[in-house]
Amino acid sequence: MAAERIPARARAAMFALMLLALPGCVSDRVRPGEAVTLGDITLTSPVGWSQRGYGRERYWTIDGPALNSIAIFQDVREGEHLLLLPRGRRRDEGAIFRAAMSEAEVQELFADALQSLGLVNVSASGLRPAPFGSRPGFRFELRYDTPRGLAYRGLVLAEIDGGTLSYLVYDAPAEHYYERDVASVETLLASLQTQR
Amino acid sequence: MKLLTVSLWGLIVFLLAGCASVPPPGQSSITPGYQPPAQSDEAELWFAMRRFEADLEKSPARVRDPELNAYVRELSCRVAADLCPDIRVYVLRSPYFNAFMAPNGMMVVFSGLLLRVSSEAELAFVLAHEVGHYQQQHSLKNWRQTKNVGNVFAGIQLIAGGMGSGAVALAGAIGANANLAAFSREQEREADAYGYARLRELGYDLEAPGLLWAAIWEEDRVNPRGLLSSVFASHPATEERWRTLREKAAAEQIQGDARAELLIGRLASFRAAWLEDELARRNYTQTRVLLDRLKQTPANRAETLYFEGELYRKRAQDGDLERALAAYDLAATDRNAPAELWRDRGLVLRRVGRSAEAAADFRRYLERAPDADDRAMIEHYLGGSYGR
Repeated sequence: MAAERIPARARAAMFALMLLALPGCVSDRVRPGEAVTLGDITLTSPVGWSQRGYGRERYWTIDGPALNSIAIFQDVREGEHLLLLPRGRRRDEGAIFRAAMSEAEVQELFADALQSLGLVNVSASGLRPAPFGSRPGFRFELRYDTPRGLAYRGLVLAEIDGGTLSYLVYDAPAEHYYERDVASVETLLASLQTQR
Repeated sequence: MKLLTVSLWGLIVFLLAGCASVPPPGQSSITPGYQPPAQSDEAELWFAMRRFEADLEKSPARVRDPELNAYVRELSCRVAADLCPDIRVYVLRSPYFNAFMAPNGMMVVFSGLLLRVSSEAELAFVLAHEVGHYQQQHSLKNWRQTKNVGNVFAGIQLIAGGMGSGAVALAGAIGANANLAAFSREQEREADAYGYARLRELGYDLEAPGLLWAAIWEEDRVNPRGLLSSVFASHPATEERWRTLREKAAAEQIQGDARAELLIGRLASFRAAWLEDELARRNYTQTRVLLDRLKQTPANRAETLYFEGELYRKRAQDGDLERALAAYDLAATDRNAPAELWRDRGLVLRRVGRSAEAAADFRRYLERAPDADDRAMIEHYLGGSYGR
């Protein structure tokens, strides 16, 4: 997701961690029309994606993470960083998810997390209820610029269920790439099925 | 160049030492219109910095408001005197307390610094201190020193690396880590002498540097792991130093003008956005110190109270939601309170189970902001569409 994109050093470190350091890292293809089950959700994409990830995190991309990506985070728990990043010494500070947060506060948490990673002109807007499979969820849009001036757009579909947060983030450069793939992503989001 | 607070440390050191060997202001190492000799290492350094500056000019992080830029520029010129034409000032939107000056006269000021200066005198001192570093060519000397000790590539890598990672990143790199900005205490003395002398010549309040330093020291002290600046990483901080600075200024007994209202007025329209940036850091202990201080200034008190409510709503630790409601309630009495206040107070009321009051606040929010982009979610909280 966006947060792994910038700064580049952080993203590279995260990918290196995912690919090299952790056992059980998934590295494969998401094939068009094939259902993919991740935890308790199932997704079917109309287009193919490369997939990396482990545990509660998955990262999909078509042309490379800088050009398009879907990040899927599942069951972010009370007191964990929104992006499952290590927390600082002060456990009550930083972009920490709280189970009592409203949807509006989760949207706000996304914007704060992106800004804290060095992105600029971050905005989150259009918060509205939306189904997360068969469960109630919500969605909103993101916009931000990289420090060097590349504009990105993104969308988030999320749910808070049983005190945990799960979400999918699609983001891509606003110029060309976002619009090129957003219809496929919408189809993917509409395919989301939940097992609970 | 380097974190502004380092500069202030330098001033403290200068005052403590009673240094008398400082060139008087106006007696520059650099003269107006200075250009480095062709084919010199300095020319190479300027070339690299010009490339970075071209990047900076296009940066989306720049605050481009013409009036704000004109104000900071005019103040910089006032303190820089005859060096004014050689100095270019860029304001970057970043919530940290930071400023630096490159060897070619490019000065960068972060919005987090502008949020924290409570008078024009404080800002003038900061700018003058940076001009002092430029005048004395401190970054060039440091760069040469780095090469002399054998780490030839450090300075080059700083520039090249910074070029590749964007303006804000380079600003941080130069400000926090780079050899270019790692001024010695002697250099800090020289820059501080320039800044302090310029403040006196221009008739500013000489207590301003000490007040600012004490405020920033207090923010860093409450959360040293979440440094607002890097100054404390390399210079041990002691309360005694800023106390000495303030005592020294008081001993001079020169009536100066802080021009607090002037500064507050100039920056008023930016405060809300910069406070939002500050709260986005979610470094609540530091932000609380800042808000407590802002409440003592002529700045918009209702606005400050609203953001105090926001701080407690976001932190949401024991007793925080009640504190948030108390702050929102005070802010709500101001007729200019933002519409978002009612949404945010509604979120807190909803969280503490005061549903009817929450619904009343949500309705008031939608009445005040009928085109709010989160209208659908607020209507959902209200149990359906509202008012349309």
